[in-house]
Amino acid sequence: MSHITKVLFAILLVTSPIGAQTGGDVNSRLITLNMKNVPVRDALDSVRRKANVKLLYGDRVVPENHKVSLKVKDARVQDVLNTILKRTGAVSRVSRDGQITIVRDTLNRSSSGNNPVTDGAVIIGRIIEAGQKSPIPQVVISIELLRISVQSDSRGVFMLNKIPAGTHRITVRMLGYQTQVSTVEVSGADTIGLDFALVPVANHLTEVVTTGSGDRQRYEVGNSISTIKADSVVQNSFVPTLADLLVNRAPGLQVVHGSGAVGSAKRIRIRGIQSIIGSNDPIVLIDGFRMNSGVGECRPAYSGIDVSCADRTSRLDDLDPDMIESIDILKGPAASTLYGSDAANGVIVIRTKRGQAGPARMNVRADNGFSNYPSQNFPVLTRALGSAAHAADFLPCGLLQLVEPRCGFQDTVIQFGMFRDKNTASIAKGRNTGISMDISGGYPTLQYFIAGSFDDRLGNSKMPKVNQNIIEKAKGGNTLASNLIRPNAEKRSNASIRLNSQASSIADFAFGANIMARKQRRGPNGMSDAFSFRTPDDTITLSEGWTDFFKERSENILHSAVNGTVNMRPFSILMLKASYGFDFSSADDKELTRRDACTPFCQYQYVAEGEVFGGRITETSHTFDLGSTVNIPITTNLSSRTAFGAQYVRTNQSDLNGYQVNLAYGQTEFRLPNLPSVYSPIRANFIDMRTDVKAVFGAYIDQNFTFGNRLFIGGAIRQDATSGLGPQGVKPVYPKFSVSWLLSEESFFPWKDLASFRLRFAYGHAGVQPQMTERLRTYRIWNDFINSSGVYESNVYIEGIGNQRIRPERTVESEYGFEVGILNDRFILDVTRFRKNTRDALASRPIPLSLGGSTYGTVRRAENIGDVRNTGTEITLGAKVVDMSLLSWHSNISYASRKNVLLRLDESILGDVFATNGIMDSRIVPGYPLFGRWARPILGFADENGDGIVSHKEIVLGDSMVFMGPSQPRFDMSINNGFGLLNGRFRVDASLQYQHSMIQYNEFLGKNSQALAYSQILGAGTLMQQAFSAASVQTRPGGSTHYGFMEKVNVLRFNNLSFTAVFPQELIRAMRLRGGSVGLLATNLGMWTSYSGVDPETNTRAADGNEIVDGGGLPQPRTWTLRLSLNF
Amino acid sequence: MKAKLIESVGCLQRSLRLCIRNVALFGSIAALNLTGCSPSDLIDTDVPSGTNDPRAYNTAEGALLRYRGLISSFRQGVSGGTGSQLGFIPTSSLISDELIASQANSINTSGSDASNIAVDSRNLDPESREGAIVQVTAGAWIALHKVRLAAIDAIGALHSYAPQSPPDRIGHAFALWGMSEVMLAELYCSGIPLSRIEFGGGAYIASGSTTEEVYSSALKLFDSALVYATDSLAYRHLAMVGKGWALLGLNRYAEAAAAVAEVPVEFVYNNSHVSEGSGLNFTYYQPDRLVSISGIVSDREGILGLPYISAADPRIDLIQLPSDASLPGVPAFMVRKFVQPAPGAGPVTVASGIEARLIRAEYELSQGGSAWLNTLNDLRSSAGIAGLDPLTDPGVESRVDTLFKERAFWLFLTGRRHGDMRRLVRQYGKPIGNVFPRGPYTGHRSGAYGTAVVLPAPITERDVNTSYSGCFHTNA
Repeated sequence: MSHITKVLFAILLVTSPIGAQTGGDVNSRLITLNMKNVPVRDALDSVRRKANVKLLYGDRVVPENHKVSLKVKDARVQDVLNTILKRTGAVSRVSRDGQITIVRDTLNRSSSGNNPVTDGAVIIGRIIEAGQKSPIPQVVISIELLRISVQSDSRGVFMLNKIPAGTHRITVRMLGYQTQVSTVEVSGADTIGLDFALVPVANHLTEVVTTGSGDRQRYEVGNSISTIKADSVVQNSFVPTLADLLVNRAPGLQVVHGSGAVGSAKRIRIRGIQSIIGSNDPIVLIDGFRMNSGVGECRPAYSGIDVSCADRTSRLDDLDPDMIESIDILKGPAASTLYGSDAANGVIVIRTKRGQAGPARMNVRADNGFSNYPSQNFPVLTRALGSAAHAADFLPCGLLQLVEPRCGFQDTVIQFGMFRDKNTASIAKGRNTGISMDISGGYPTLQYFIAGSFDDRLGNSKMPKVNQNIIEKAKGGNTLASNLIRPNAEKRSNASIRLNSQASSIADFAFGANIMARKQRRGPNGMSDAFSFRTPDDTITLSEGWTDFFKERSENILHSAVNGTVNMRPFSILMLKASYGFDFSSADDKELTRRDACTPFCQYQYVAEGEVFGGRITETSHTFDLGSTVNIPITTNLSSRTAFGAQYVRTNQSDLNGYQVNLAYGQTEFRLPNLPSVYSPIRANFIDMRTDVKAVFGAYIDQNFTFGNRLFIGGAIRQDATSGLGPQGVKPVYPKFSVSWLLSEESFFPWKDLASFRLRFAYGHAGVQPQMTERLRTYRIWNDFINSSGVYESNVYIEGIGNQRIRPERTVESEYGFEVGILNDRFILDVTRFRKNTRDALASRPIPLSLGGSTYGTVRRAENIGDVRNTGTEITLGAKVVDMSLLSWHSNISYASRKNVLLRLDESILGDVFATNGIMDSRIVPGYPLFGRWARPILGFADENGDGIVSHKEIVLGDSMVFMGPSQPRFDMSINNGFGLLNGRFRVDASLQYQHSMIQYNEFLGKNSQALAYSQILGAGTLMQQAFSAASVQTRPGGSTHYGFMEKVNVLRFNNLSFTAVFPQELIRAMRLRGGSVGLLATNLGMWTSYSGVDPETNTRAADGNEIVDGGGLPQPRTWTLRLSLNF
Repeated sequence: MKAKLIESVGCLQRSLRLCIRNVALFGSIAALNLTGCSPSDLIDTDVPSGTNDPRAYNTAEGALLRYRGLISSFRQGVSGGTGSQLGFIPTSSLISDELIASQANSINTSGSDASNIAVDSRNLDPESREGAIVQVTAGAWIALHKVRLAAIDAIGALHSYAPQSPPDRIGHAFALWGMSEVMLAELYCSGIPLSRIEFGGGAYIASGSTTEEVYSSALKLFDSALVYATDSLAYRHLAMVGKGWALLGLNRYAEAAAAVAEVPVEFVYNNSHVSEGSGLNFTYYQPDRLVSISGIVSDREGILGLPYISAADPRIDLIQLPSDASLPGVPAFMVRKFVQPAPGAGPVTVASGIEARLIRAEYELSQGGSAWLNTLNDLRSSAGIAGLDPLTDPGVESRVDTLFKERAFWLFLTGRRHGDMRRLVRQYGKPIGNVFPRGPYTGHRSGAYGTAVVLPAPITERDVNTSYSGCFHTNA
């Protein structure tokens, strides 16, 4: 024991290369040396070189400061060593294979003799990784029958002492490597050299994952971190955007859809929502640097919810999935503490592809496909027509007039499936084409990866044929531009380069650059116009919505990211990192009606004269990162990893927006002088700019201890200063703690050869900082001050009084779980339970009128007045169900449940309906989920007068709203399957997703039903439909309700099916390829649900991403893509 | 911003160099301190290019912009904002006998039409949550409170960032602040929360102050105005008239007279900075038909109202127009002073030397004798208005009525009449039924006058302001 302990204390080991000449009586070799006053270690090194022997020692064995002088000629190695080691307390021993080991002389410390150990044999050796030849520390080497077990030290060296004579079976075991067994015969006091080269085997616990203080192996961290191997997913699936890449790929990660329009943003939610008014978006890092990932704007947004606004673009989707190697999902504060004040919603860590040393390799991929909708999915629309007393003939009366019956009467009801008729349908077949190419390679010292791609997608929106005909007839000929006929399209280009260099043994650097450009056309969304549908025979020739056909909604985006990192390892135990990343994005969005474009269909003159709404959002992020990591093996069984670092992230965002009318012919852009001149007296033209800056400076220390490579305990703390809280504001401190225990590596674990098993626990804090403008008093500049000469001048008003006492939202998360891998990961089960409490959640409290508030409570300020809790369970089951060369079937099933509850909200705003973020259908109520669905119930209805119609007078509503359910699914499941056939020549991938128990607001049905409300007069629809419709009429006496349009949704979706055939070898050789394949990829092949709308995941309130409302946006389309992949 | 960024980058570069050189594990923090950069430097962000960041206006020019913002806010508080938001004068004129609501023919029973009728007919239940009532009671309330906040901000900015600018601007700001508080006291019930912001800092949400406390608060502001407005006679006189007005409200006639003694009769402070659509909402929509979108000049409204039309007093300068089709038979008049020189650009008088003389006359009336009558007749004779004959003493019983009628005609549509009516009840002991319009509603809608003599505080103030429980009382 004493020998082992002392040897394990060695923290620095110098050794000759394995494979040097050994054998024979090395002690008898003759060498010549002449040294004066040199360290013992240098002297030993000279002996090693001169004698060409393997020589092992530890620095605890050989004193560091001891110096010797020696001058010998043709002396025996043994003698020289004895001289050098005199008075050091160490002696040399020679193994059977000629390796010399310096050990402590424990039997006779005062002796310098050469017979130190006599009570058994010694087995000494080194563990390296096969192929790499790098040492592997903390490998367990054991003789199980003797209950002897040691670990290799930091240089892979181990020593088994006091081995009795006999034949022994030595087992070498390390997670992530194939276990090796060697039989050794020992007699007497042998010293036996025994090296092992371990072969790595895939194990999910040994994968490298990202943490706030650097890369770690999964088994070292106490958090559940999901990894998406993007390159393999993209290779076999149609993944048009990065958000699509995340769908179904990690339990607990929810992708909230927008509409099905091309380019429509999706929002990411991880482990539920916790902020009421703050961001619930995770932060996104690309190669370690902050990436702009918010959604764009949608003008004019001033009118509130607009269906076309569901089609905002996302900066996250600017990135081409082809460029990505892998994505790590850090799900909550327990994992994201070291990212600090913006990380409470989780962190998405994107790692882009990089090159490998070797000859240049090129990959080319081309996609061509289309998208469509099964037309029978679309609803039949209802509309009532009639005469009005004081309106033009054949116009439907408004709802107001329905209640005030002097309007007139409705005498016609039309029910019509406009989407099923080719003349009236506003949907059409879309198109997807894309090509991507990359080339990579390099030398051991420098690797490169260069890639480019181009995607051209045409969405499914279309101007109905009947409208085209009417317009062209009115304007005389074929005058409609193609972008008006097919208003939704996207072109996206990406280019990236990444260089990695190992400049020297102590330094390396990496450089990356991405540039992305998108041109987006959007809306009007295909279904938005359905509320005023047209018939093929043009019986309704005037209607609202005509102007929409002439609006050109576009967005031009430029997004670029550059980053560089330098890593230095001045000492083996120390690593320094310095890095800088820069991300810039500019999104110009515009809604343009050209002068005279809509004549004679414009309802308003100013539209006829041309108008343009629009703006430009620019966002710039800088990330500076300095870090140091110190790895100290304290004992062979205990090591320490300490990381210190500081980060500075600064994001500037400005939103310049404006409006101009009376455009010149051909004018498509703003031409307002004197930016930002702000507001003209005639109130027709204005331009405005809003800015915000987020800056975070944070420093952290992360201390981790490893016990025997099976127990990992870590703690960290980070402190931030943020712009959201100001220089004088609080500096929040975020702690974390985690434990990971590889139970299967313990000696008492009975199924070592069958399974890996890990228990883990993590606890951590993180925050969401408020926007700077929520703290500060803000102003708005106007131009309505008239000076004494009658000239307008600028002046400023207070816009927001700010909140000097604002604090960051703080989320505290604890998670625990286990992972089991059976039969070399053939089956993997990962179970995690988490609990997240958010304190000081920011809510928007109306300010008193005496402090500048408004009558309707719309002037507000952010205050820390809420507490929110999210709990849930995440389970992943991975299985290689069949793993044969002819047939393989790999399956991955994940399940995530979530429960969200608002624990507290300041009492003073409980009665404030506006605290529901202004939307009556979802509310913020303590004791219930955030943004839960609420409605006044319909207590009863009856056709009391027996006329076959349930009118609004025959409905009884409850007095107050009742909770209908959460607006997010209570749980979801996904299953991803991959099949390989005939030695991998064919591959089939299929995935399904199931979402359970979400209450969806079918706003589209509600609006359509308002037309049904007209038709009650004619007795259309069932009595219940009539009741729901009549109750939803907003001017119903006694109030209205959307109760009838809240639907509980369970949905199973066949998300993805792909079939890939690899080229035969003959063809590959003939084409001089490295590889190639052809694939047929399909998405959204089927959906099974009780939902009465077209698609329960269609969301027309994608802007905040906190709830899902089907307001008539396009559903998710079905796509078919043919793919050709060539590898050179 | 760029400079700030460069500075930040510089900080980090220096930090990085030190870090690497010293292999300091906590290098970043230590180095930042050694280089003289603190984390606070890095997060003290600056956004000069934005229009919503306060530091964009932390300059002498920014202080001027804030000062102008105060003036524009005051204009909206007095005259009304955009759309249907009524300012102090329209609201005050409706609840008094000066105007009647003019939207009688609309089938719409909600919105501003109903709210104007509610004010005009004095049917204002302080507990009402009916949207129209909430809206109309909140209009002037919000606008006048915004003046107070803008004044605090402008004064702070002028002090901090434009110390070289004339102190008169600060005096002016104090005077407008004071005026806004007097207007609140005149129009609303007792129990007004004087919430306030700190310049560049926090916010204080107040509980209610009594009418007297609000007047007293205004007095202090006018005194501050007089301290600063040393060079500008206009601003000094504005503050003096405001002070006299507040003192009248406090029943301190002698001090009121003394306060305005220096104000020459020619003095006029007009709220002339009126832009189209956001000025006094009298002529914006219908400049050639009615005097107001809110009301029509009334004549003997509710039995007791003054004969603003039939008296044919030259001080009420009206032009009769053809009746509007929506109000057949109802005479329509245009108030000339509000449409000259251009629709919506007419001056709105906030304070004048005439009011100063009227304040003196009221003091003199309280002292007995005939000085009050002489003062009124001097005013008539010096005004240069044809047709204004000298008054004769109506006898003791009617002297107060005569004085207040003079005030009503001289100060027509300047927001003084309602406060005068309250004072007739509060200070002169007249029954409400002898002062305010009563009986069947004489507007163009059926119904009867209610009992309100003040505007209640908007109920939404009570909902949101947890320190405030509403009006102390709704008496005059």
